[in-house]
This record gives sequence, structure tokens and C-alpha cells, in this order.
Amino acid sequence: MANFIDSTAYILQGSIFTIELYIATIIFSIPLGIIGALIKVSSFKILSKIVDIYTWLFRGTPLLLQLFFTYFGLPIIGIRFSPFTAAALTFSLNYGAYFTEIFRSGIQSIDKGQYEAAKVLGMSYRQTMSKIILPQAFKRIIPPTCNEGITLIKDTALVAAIGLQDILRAAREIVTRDFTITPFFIAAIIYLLFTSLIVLAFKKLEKKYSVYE
Amino acid sequence: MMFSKDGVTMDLLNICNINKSYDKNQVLNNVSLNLKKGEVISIIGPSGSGKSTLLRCISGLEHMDSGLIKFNGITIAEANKKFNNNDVINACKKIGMVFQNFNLFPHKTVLNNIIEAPIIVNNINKKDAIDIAKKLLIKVDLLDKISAYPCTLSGGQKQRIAIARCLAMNPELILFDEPTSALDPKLVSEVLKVIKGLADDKISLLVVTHEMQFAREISDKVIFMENGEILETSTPELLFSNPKHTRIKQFLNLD
Repeated sequence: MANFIDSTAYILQGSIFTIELYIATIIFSIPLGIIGALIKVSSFKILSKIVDIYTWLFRGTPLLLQLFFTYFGLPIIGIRFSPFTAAALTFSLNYGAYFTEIFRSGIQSIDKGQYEAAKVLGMSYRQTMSKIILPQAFKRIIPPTCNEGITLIKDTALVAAIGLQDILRAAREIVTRDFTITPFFIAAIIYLLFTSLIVLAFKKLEKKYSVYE
Repeated sequence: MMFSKDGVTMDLLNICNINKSYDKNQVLNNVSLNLKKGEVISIIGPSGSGKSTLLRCISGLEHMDSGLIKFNGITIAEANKKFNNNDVINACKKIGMVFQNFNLFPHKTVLNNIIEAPIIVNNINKKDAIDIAKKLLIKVDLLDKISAYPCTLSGGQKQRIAIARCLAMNPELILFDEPTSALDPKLVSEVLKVIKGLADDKISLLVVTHEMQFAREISDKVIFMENGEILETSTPELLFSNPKHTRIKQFLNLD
């Protein structure tokens, strides 16, 4: 039993890192996604093309490969990051690309009559976006954003590849040391707890916005 | 009434020779039209005759290929030109539009649908905007729905809210784009009654409609459009009883 508690404590220590990376990624990737989406629906052709290339690149290659590139590749040209910074940067850029596409599709799903109504009421493009379009798009992107939020928790396990101590790596260390697979179950339960929290939070959000439609 | 120098009543809206085509399909063919302050003009005609496109050109939702539109003597739209100066922006604020599909903001309550534009566009303070909104809701007989979301309203109620929202901007001219075409037949009359009230208040109206009896009752002039052209402009009495064109007779089943 003592062994079980020790294992759990050790794995939970790994989860601190998972949470830190999760929060850092959310803080940077969501604004990145909003900016990317607004550029994509705007009439800035060149900027929009650049965002196209960005999402193409980051959605089209494995996250693990991107992580290797940031951590092992960039030092070749003299750019060095700590493992955590490398992970946070790569994850933010990768998730920012997905969020860009999710938010873009959310914005573009709003009926064109809404833009027209705002226009004939004299609203500027900025007012139309901030008061009419984005609040409605927000409701529609809650479910796909929740999906990404869940995937992100699980993707954090990839950072073991650059030597960081997350939930899964902590669990695996105990497995190899003690020849028992209990730590995997503990890890699974911790992941489930985290993902359930995310789902619950998004359900609350969805409910809050279900007052209309 | 506005008077120009020579004492003749000035037009509120002048549409001069506008043309518009989508690809090779000409939807507006040299359309000209004048509307005086306080005047009510209805536009009738078969579907696809360019009626809605004409309204959308006036409200700035569509660009024209040629021609120009003046409102209160100010050019507000001209082919291949973009206007961003304050005179034009302020002039356009005085043109309201009501859509066939209402286009209410679904994420806002009835009250917030009405007060949003007066607050952020006209910089009216919130308290005054709410007072105005309440008066308008009484006018359209929907004060009890002030906190409701649009999804809980019937089509007729939605359209009356859309009219109230439009009125909150204090327009001099309101464009109605088939305001009752998306409605259940039994809900049509409640909306027409509100529009009729606006005509009685001497607000200038340009109404695209398929409600012939209604057009006949409220209009000072009726325009018949077909294939992007104005075929006839006349008083409602003349146009509905004895139109010059046989095509209009056919359309109205007068033969």
C-alpha cells in the first residue's frame, strides 16, 4: 500500500509539469488562433496567405517532429531553449494552428444576414465582429475547442521525448523499476481526471451559452 | 418638407440610371427612381425582377456597375467609388432596412437587439437607449417580450422587433425587402399593420412586397419591375386597375 501511495505521489509530481505545459499552451495558442482566424477572414491577402502556410505546416507535420525540431534542430543555428520553453513554444504554435482553423470555421459559419443587419444599422467592421459575429462564433466553437483541449492533455506525454518528466514518463519509470503495471493504471486515472475536468468546464460553458437557439 | 432654392419639394432619394449584373445576367437595367420626403413607394413584380437588388444597392449591401444614388442631396453610392467621409456615413445611418429573414441577433435579447446600434453607432447613453427601446416596443406591441431571445418569438413578432430595431436609429427612409414573405399567412397582418403605422407617421418607405392589397393601401406610388427594368410607375389606383402594360395586367390577373 505504501508503495502504491509513493508511486501515486511520484506520478502526481510529473503531473505538475503536465499542468504547467497545458496552461502555457492554452494561454498562447488561443490568442494565436483568434488572431490567425481574424486574419484569414479579413481582406489582407498577403497576411492571410502567410497564415495559410503556417496552418499547413503545423497541422501537416507530427507534433513530435516539431518538438524535435525546436529542441534539437534550432540549436544548430544557435537558438537554444530550455526543454520547457521548447515544449511550450512548439505546443502553442501547433495548437494555435488548429485553433486558427476552428475559429475561422466558426466565424464563417455565421449567416451573412448578420453582417448585413449590422451594416445597415451603421456598425463598422470592427463593431460587427466584436459585438455580433465573434460572440455567436464563440458558441459554435465550444465543442471542437473542447476536443482540442482534451487532445492537448494527452499530447503533453510527448515531452518525455526531450527528457521532461510528465505523468506518463514518471509512471514508466516506476514500471521499469518495480516490474508492475499498476503505475500505468494510476497514470490513466490521473489523465481521466484531468480530461473529465476539461469536459465538465466546457459543458458548463456550453450550458451558459445555450440560452439562445 | 425640404425645399430646394426654386421652392420645389426636394427629393429625399434619387436613383440615377443604375445598372448591375451578376456575371452576364443583368439584374438592374438603367433603373432611375425618385422618392420625396414622407412618400411611400411600393415595388412589385415577379421574382427575379431585381426588386431586392435595387434595395440592396441603396443600402450599400451591393455595389453597382454604373449610376449613382443620392440621399438628401448627398451622393452616397456611385459605381467604382468608395465613400468613407463622415457626410456619407451619417447620411447612410438615416437609411434603415428590414429584411425578409429578419436577421435579428440571436445571441441578444430583444432589448439588446434594439439598443446595440444606438449605443455603439450613435453614442446614445444606455439609459436613453432603453427608454427609446421601450417606447418602440410599445409601438410594435411587444413590450412583454423585452427580455426574450429571438428564438422564442414567432415570425411576426421577430419582424416587428426588426422594425423596432430599425426605428431605434431614427431613420428618414426605411427599405422593406419583402417583410412578410417569410411569414405564416396568419402572421402577415400584424406586421403590415405596423408598417402602415409608419406610413401614417410620414416616414418615407420603399417597400418591396408581394402583398398587392397592402401596396395599394399604403403607397403614394407603385412601381412595377420586370427583368431588371421599371416597366411602369404610377399611382396605386391607376396601376392596379388600369395599367398601361399588358404584362402588368397579366401579372395582376386583370384580364
